[in-house]
Amino acid sequence: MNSNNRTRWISLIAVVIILFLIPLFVKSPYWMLVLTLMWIHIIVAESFRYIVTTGEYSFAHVPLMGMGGYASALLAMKLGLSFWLALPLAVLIVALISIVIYYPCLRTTGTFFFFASFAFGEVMRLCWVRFRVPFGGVGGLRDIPRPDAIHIPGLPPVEFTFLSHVPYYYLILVFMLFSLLIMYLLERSRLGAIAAAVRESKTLASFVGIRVWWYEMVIFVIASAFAALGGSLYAHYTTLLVPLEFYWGLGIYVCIWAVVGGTGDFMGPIVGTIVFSLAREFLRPIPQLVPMVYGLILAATLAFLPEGLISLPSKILPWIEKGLAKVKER
Amino acid sequence: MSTPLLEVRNITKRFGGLTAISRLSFDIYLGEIAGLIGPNGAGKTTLFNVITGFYPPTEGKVFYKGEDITGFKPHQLVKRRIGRSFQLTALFDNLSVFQSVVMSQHLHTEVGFWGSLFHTPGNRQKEKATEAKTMEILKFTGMETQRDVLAKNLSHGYQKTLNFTMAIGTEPELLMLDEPLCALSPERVTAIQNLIRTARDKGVTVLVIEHNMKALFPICDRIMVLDAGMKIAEGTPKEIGENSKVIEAYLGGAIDVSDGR
Repeated sequence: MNSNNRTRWISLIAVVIILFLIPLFVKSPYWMLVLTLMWIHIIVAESFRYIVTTGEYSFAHVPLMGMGGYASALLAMKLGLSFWLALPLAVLIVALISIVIYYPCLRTTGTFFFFASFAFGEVMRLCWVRFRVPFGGVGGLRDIPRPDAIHIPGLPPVEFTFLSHVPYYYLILVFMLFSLLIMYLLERSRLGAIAAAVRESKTLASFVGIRVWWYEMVIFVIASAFAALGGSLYAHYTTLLVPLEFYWGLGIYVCIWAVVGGTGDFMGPIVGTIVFSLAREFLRPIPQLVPMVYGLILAATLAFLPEGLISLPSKILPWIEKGLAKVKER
Repeated sequence: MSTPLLEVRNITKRFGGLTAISRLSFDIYLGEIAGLIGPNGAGKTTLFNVITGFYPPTEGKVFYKGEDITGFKPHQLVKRRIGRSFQLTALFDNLSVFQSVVMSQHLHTEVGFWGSLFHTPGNRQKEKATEAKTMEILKFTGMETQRDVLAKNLSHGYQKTLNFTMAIGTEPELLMLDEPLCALSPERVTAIQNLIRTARDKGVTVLVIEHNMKALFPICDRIMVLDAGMKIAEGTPKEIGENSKVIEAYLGGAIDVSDGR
């Protein structure tokens, strides 16, 4: 292990420890809510980027996240399953749905893929609106059961109630770190290398023996499973699901988070999601400005930092060094 | 000669009303270097695309080692050890030369999924074997000095060579090259000619499409001439060079085949 690698590991561990210590310092329930929702959004944005590693932009991703939420909520409400069983089942169901959706979509690429996936997303959203049974129509689902208490021997049981912001924070933080770890390992593995080849040239990839659609399918199903995980956590955290929340606008927001952060780097969507979530909080007094500010950030990033905010340090550092050199000359 | 490796039987390809190839048949035999020439629009690249499964033929069949491979997808052909290079360089632009060639061995690297996920020691060993193999291939085509350059930053000559190197990386038994020699410097042409010969000596059968006839004639055992989607002549380079039909239709005059380039 070289020193560069070691610094990276140490800073990573430090960040994780800080994330675990945050609830000791942040006492405001409001900010706990903001942070917890941000972890869910990071899962969704990072899994969206996982699709982008193949070069396609899917707008069925956010509706699939909603599908995960609906599946998990309905399993808990209609069948009385516990959250701990409903979540993996919802992930499995969405993985199957994503196979059905992406099978026809994968016959297209580029703009056509975008429109095909967009259409399937709208179909899902309209299903929730039109089929009052079981999806609850425009009003959606309410009173979704919260997770059962976790019993750790020797400690009081960890309850999940309306007031338990801290247990929710830890629950969702752990799920987020787990998802990021899996996606990071996947990207570093052979599957990641294949995704890069497919992104660069599908034709050439097929001529080195890669079954392009098969690998794309594998990647899309994994990404959809993580979106479903985010959706399920969201449903059981907010206990409320409304079709409007998963409309195409959120799909575009997720895309903006990932693109502004930088889809070329694993950390990009994480940075993008954090920046936009915080920007939204500071714009809370004037919410009508949110879309405009988002648009401005997007335009500025695309114009000046096409590789995303994540490339900012590597662009700024040479400037600073130049500036320092000039100051020294004087 | 022995039984053919590749048999093309009565291939016809129409695009709407345009007949790009009409009732074309030929054989490629094990261990030969066969050339395919013809004027622009003769249907050479279309023929390659039909054989390699880009689009199905309107009529006719293609057999490889006796197996009907008509309309097979590219990855199925690579599995049967048919490799191809591209006329307009198709590359993994943002991958380095080394990564590209590692990728080209996709079917032959035994790196398992779980092994690569958790970086197991066994996997590390297999990766090392792949890396050694990649360096060997890079040395073979003379690209080892460019190993860490991104494909998009290579010079045109090296890009063409990389395209060829990646076709070699798929370990083909039949290598189909689409204009590997055009628009290259004389030194590069000689280098690639030598590579094609060496590949043949190692047991690879080669089918080359080429515009640069002076470069093609000295390496080919047999040449087929295509015009307006039909085969108008077939024979040794010497016979083709003297064939009056070919000269009239295409060459515009007798050519000197003794010169190397």
